[in-house]
Amino acid sequence: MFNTMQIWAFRDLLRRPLEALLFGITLTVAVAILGTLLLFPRAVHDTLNTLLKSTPSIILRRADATGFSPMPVQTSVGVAENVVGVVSVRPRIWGLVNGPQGQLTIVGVLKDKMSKALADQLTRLPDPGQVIIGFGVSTGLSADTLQLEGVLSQTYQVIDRLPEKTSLFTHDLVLMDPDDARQLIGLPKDYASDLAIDVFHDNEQEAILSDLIASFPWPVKCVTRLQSQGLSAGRWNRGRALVTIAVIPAVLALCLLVAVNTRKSMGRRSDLGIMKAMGWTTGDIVVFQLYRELFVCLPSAAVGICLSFLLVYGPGAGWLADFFLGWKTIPPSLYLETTGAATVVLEVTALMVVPVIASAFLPVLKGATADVHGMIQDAGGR
Amino acid sequence: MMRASCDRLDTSAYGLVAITLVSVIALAVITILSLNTPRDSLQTTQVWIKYLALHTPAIVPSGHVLRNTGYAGVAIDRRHSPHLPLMGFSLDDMMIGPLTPERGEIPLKK
Repeated sequence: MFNTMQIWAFRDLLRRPLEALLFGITLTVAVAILGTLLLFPRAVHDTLNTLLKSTPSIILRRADATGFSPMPVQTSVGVAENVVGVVSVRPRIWGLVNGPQGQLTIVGVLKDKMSKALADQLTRLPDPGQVIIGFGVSTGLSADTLQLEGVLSQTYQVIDRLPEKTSLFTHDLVLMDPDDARQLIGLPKDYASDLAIDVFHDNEQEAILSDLIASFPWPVKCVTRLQSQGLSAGRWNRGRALVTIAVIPAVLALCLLVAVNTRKSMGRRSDLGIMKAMGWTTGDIVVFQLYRELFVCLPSAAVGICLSFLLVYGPGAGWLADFFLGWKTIPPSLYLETTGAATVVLEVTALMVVPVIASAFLPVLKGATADVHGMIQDAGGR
Repeated sequence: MMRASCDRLDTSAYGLVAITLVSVIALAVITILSLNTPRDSLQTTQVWIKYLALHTPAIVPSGHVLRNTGYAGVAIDRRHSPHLPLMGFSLDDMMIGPLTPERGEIPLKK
């Protein structure tokens, strides 16, 4: 399974096993920290990009001097549906209210539009006086009731929880009967908070915007999916800049590792001299050193990257969101996709492992043309 | 009776097998996490996004809420209709209502 050179190189490592072990552990920790710092923003960005493709093409809100105002459902839907390019229009009933531990987003749900796949995930949809809550919604003292405060203060019965794995979007949601939602946020009957509009092709989002806005008899404001993706990307680019600052200590650790490894390797010049005196060629010694370093670096890198993966992509990893996103209450469970992870893994490997391995070759290169007697005598000087 | 080998080369071979196993297990964990974890959760999340017509993710804590005091409690945050810098789009570009001319009037802006 292993050739003599590989076994010999590992035996050489066992001459100082504690030193090799400590070096391996240090490298593992450094790779794990750097890998996590680089993987997390990338994973969140990529996952959000994928998920945002399922969001409505355009959100249209009625604007007024004070901000936004409710829209009459029948008129608004009729106007929007008449715009060429619009595939579907859905009025949304939602708003922000105060919960036991901060603000929550309430959504009025229509039972008739629920798909079968979705219905299978819940025991039942909320009737009047009942709510279904997201994973991050704390119910306060009682687990069965939730007190919400909007235009009026009301207590609702909690009948179910949304799946934890949908936390990226449903963490703070409270689903309730549409009439309950209207009452809670002060929305008149037959009015909606805004409209969710879908178009057939992404390019149409911008193309129909002016027609859509002009067709309404009152001022409206639109946000397209592409703008939303742009905002999300911009936000995460800023996050990445902060992570770059956190990477600096990891790079310092790398410099220290390289320095220690170089010094350690230079201390072995006498060993290499003895090998050469016994007939080893420079090529043999290069291969020997390569194996020697690989036997420490490869397992360390593999375990370090594995730790990063567990922290970032592990099912439901929540504390990272707490750490990176600053959640003050229950952090969302993160289920992130691994797109782009290979690039980050290669980056980490190149950044951490290659310099460490390269640092071991310095004595070999210096010893290629050096006098063997001089190399052996180095032992006396140390 | 044969005594156990004390040869360091044998020990080294066992050591090599051990670190190979550790590496293989680590790579297997990476592969499993890459292949299995996200697919189901992403699909479920997408179904919910479509049903509820959600527009922005929940993972950025709102903290900054723009309440519309003139309108009885309906509040706007970044969650559903992001009231954020519009990345090169000004509000005027999107708001035409009052600026749209009545029939026969001159438009205020083009």
